[in-house]
Amino acid sequence: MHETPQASREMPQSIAWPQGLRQILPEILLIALAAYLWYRTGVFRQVPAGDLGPDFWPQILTALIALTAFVRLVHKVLLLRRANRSAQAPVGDQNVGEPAGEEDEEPIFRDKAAIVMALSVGYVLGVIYFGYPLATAIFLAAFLWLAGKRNLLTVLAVSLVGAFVFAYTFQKIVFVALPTGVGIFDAFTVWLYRLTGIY
Amino acid sequence: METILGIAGAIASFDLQLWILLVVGIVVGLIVGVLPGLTFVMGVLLILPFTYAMTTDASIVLMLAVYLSGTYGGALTAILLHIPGEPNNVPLLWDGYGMNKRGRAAEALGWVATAALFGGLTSWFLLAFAARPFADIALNFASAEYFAIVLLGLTSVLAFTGRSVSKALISLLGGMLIATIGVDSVYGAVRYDFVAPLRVGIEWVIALIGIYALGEVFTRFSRNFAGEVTEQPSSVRTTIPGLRALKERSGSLGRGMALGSVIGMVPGAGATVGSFVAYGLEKNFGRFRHEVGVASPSGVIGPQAAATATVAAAFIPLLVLGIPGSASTAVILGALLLHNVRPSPLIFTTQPELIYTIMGALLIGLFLMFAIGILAAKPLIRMLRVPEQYVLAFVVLFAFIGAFALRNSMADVWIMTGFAFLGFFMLLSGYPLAPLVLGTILGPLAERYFLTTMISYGNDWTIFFTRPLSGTFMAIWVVVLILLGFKAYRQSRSEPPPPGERAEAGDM
Repeated sequence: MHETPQASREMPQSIAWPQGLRQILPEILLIALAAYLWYRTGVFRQVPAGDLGPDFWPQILTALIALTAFVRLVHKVLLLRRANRSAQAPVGDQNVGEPAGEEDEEPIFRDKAAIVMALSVGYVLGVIYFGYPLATAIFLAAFLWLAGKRNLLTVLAVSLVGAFVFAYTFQKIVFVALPTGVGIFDAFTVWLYRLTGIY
Repeated sequence: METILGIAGAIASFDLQLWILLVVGIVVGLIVGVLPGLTFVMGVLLILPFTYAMTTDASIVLMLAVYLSGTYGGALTAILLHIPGEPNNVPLLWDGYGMNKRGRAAEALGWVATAALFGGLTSWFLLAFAARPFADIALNFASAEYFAIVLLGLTSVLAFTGRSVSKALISLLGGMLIATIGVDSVYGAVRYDFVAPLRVGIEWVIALIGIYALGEVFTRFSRNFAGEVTEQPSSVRTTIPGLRALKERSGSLGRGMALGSVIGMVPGAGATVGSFVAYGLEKNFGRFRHEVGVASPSGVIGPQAAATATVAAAFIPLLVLGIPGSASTAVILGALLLHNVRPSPLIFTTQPELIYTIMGALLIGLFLMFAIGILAAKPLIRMLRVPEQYVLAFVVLFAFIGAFALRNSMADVWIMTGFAFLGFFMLLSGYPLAPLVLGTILGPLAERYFLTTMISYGNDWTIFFTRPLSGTFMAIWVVVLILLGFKAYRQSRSEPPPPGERAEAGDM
C-alpha cells in the first residue's frame, strides 16, 4: 500500500538488506510461481512425439514470465548496489527503479481496503447461506454505513428497496435463478418471493 | 448501394423495443459517463446481465448505445466542473474548463457535442463501407494470418499502457496464462484445474467484471471516495458552432476523426488513448497549437472527436475477425458468443441483418447522443449530487449478478471476486490492468491459431514469415517489438534521482 512520502525521507540514505529484499520480493515470487506453473504442465495429457501438445503454450508463457521477472530482478539488484555505493541513494521505502508518478494517486487507506474486501467476500458467503434478498439488504446497509453514510433511515430504506428491486428485476423479469440460501433462510426467501409475487 | 439499402432497411424495421433500448442505452451511457465512479466499460458490463434474456439484436443495440454515449457524457462534467467523468475526458479539463472559466462554456459544450457527432460519423462510414471489403480480404486469411494479427494486437497493447514495459508484459503474459486454465481447445486436455470449478475454464467476461467493476469499487472505497459535488453550474447552455467556425477548426476535427478511426481498430487502444494522442497532436502540430492548453476549442475538438470515433472503428476487427478493439467491444463479443453468433469474415453473408442492425443502431445512436446530450445536459450534471457511496454499492450488486448469471454459478462469482483482488493489488503494485484483460481475451485465440498453423504445416514456424499476408503482419510486429525494446531501454537508462527526491523513471 502507498506510504506518504514524508515518512520515507527520514530513513537512512543507503538501503538496508531487509528493505532491499522487499524491493525484489515481487520478482522472486513471480519467478517461483512461474517455475511451479511450469512444473505443473508435466501432468497435462501427453501427445505423440512431434506434436507440440497442450503443455507447449503454458510453458512458453511461464518461461517468458520468469525471464521478464528475472531481468527486472537483475536490474533492481544493480540499481540497489549502485544506490548503496553512491551517496545519492534513494531513501527508505521508495520502490527502486519505479517510474515517477506511480505514487501520485490519492493514498490508499489500508483499513478501508480491508473493510471493502471483507464486505465483498462476506456478501458472496451471505448470498450462499442467507439467500440473495436478505444478504443483499444486509450488504447494502453494511456497505453504506461503513462508507460513512450515517442517516440510518436512508440507509435502511435504500438497502431494503434496493435488495427488493434487484431480486424482483433479475428473478422475475430477467429470469436469473438467484440463490435462495440454506435451511430456514431458504424457506424465508421462498416465502418472501411468494409474498412479493416473484414466485 | 447494397450497404445503404441494408442499413435503411434495418432502421425501417426497428421495432418499438429497439428504439426504446437505443434511447435507454444512450441515457445510461451519458449517466455513466457523467459519474466519476463509473466508466463506460463498467457501464457495458453492468448492462450485460439484463441482456441475457434479450434477443441478439436487442442486447447488442443496448450495449453499443451505452458504449457510444459513455465516451461523450463525461465531457459535460469535465468542462463545467473540472471533473472528468471518464479517463478519455481528462484532456478536456485543460481547454474545456479553461473555456468555461472565460465564460465560453456554451461554446465548449457545443464543440464537444459536434466533435463527438462528427468523430462518430467518420468511423461509422469506415465501418459501413470499409468493413465489408476488409472482410472480403480476410476471407483469404488462414490461421497463420490470424495469429499474426492477434500477436500484433497483443504487442501493441504494451505500447499504450503505463510507463513500465516489463510490468505491462508480465501483466499480459499473466492474462494469457490465466486463459489457459480449463480445457484446451486444440488437444482437449484439462489444464491447471487446481479446484473442480476451474475445469470449465475462466470466462473473460468474469475477469472484466472483477477487474473493471468490483476492483474499481475496492479502489475508490479504499481512497475514501471522491468528495461530494456541491457546486453546480448556474447555467448549462450549448452553442452549436456555425459553418465558419467549423471551417476554421476543420483541421482539428479532421485529425481527431482520422486518428480515432485508426486507433479504434487497434486492440487495447480505445477512447482514452485516442483522446490523449489527439490532444498531443493538436498541442504539437495543430494550426492553433500556440493556444492549446489554455482555452482553445482545438484542445476540445480533437480529443472528443477521436474518443467517439474509436467506437464504431472498434467494431471492424470485432465483426470481421472476432478480435475486439477495446474492452467494451470485448464485452459485446461475449454477448454475441452467448447468443451463438461467431464473428468472422463470413458474418456479412451469413448474418447481414445483424450487421445492418448494428450499423443502423450506431448511426441513430450518434444523433440521439448529440440531441440528448445537449438537451439533458443540466439534469445529467445534477446526477453528480448522488453520493458515490450509493453508486458504488449498486455497482457491487450489478457485478455479482453479472458474474452469477453468465453460467448460474457461484464459482464464477468467487472467480470474479478473485479477479477484483488481483486487479486491486496489481494496481497498487503499478502493474497495468489492460494487458491482463487483453491477455485473457486474445490469449486463447493466439494459442489456437498458433497451434493450428503448426499442426497444419508440420511444426514449421517459418510459415508465419513466408506467407505473404502473415509475413507482412509479422514484419509490422517486429517493428513494434523493436520500438518497445527501445522504449524499455530508454526507461532503464534514466538517471537516478538526486538525494531526497523520489526515484525517477529507472524501470524498464
